[in-house]
Amino acid sequence: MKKTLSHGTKWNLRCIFCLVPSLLGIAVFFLLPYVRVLYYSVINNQFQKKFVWFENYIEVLSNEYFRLAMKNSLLLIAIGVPVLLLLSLLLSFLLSFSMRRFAFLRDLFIFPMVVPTAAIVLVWRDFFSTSQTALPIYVLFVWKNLGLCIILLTATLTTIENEIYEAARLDGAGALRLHVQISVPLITPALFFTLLLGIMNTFKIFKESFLFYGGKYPPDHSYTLQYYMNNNFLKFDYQALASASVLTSVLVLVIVFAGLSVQRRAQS
Amino acid sequence: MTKKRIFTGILFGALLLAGLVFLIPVVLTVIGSFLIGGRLSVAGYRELFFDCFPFYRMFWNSVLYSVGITIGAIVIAVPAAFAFKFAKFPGKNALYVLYIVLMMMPLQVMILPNYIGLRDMKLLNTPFAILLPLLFSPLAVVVLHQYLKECDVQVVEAARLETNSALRILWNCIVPQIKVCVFAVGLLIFAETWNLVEQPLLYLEDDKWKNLSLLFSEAERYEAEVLLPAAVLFMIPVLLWYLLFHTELRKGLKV
Repeated sequence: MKKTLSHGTKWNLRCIFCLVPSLLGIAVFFLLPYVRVLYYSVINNQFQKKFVWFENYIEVLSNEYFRLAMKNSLLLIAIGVPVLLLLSLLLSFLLSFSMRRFAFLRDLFIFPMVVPTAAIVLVWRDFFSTSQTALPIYVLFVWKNLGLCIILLTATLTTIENEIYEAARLDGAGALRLHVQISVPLITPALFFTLLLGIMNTFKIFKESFLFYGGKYPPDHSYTLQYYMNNNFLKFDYQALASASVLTSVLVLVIVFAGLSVQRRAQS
Repeated sequence: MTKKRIFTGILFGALLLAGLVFLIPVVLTVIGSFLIGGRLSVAGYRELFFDCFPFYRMFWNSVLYSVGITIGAIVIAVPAAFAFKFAKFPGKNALYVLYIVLMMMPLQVMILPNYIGLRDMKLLNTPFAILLPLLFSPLAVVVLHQYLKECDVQVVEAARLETNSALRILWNCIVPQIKVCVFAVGLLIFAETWNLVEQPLLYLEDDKWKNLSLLFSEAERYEAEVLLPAAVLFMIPVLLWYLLFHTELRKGLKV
């Protein structure tokens, strides 16, 4: 007897098939490579390929440059991202409510997001030529990413029904209470997503840092995980690179899962 | 009332000022490109156009990468986002979380295996080393899927009475609904690939396939006068896209 698929099953299979091209590429360029990274992180070198358990990890974790890099990367997340979010929240609220008439100002803040940083880094270097701290990179980070955060937050803020505010105002709620009790809970999912993208972009700012400092060796305060990995790649120290990569991806995993669980709790 | 007006005025001034500060780097780049030794001059542009031949090749390589990747990534990501919305299969949520994790992953985590993989496929030193890995953008899938969350499902239900073809429904019922988001994602990907630095530095050896951003990362190889004029010309294509699609960019990204 010939088996025929039902209408619904066929539809479902076709929908799944739409995912195949993307999934294939992800497998070839992300997942399989990652398996290789895992493998490299537990062997002694490329030639003998002896299994050494966690030796590479111990070595990397005790390496002072790795620690410095980890510290700087975490600092960028801990300081850069909150500053970015607070600024974009402030601007989004202003441009969506009290200054709604002047919403066109938003475009001024969004604009840097598309400006190719390779082009402006020359000027940036002149501007911050005397800086002794990582400030130029932090400022560049906020400059470049504020626009995206404003877009995401205002997109949500403007969908909140005006009636909700009207009703609350009739109940005698002040402006501050209005926003703390109505707006903030309603934009929490958007805020969460913005936070994730902000953290993602702290990793991407390596490109700007690399251009700004013109190469492999930035001052200590700006030496991040990406420099550590990049330089080990150029030095052919694949074991150190692989272990650092795995440790970095664990960091990313922790961030995503922490974020997801916080979001789930906030929604329930 | 007047008090409130003054307050609004001050706030407007402050916001406008802050917004203009955001333009300073771009303005300074443009001004600097016309200044040589403190004097107004177009010599930099002349030198760039007539004596700096790599510029043209690099420019067209940049165009190739950005246009190719933007179109390819959209064509792959839109069906994938559609699948995440409508397909039912075990582990779908876990797979979506995986996409989010991959989206967050710094490029450097993958450089070594990608380098080896591209070498094994004999793609190093070819434009495919740049193009292929970037076609599969987890970011595009996640952003499009976020936008799809609020799309009109009833249209799809109605269309399914007529056809059972996922591609036709995707094209006729979903794409029109998410057009703004597609343009926004396209602009994002274009802006990012236009500014590509690490991959060409690592995966390309000879100059033949290098893109324009490397003119700035390997600046010491070129005459100092051509750099700022080149930077100005480098910004123009992306700025044109921005002028064309800035409304889409503002409206197309939702979470």
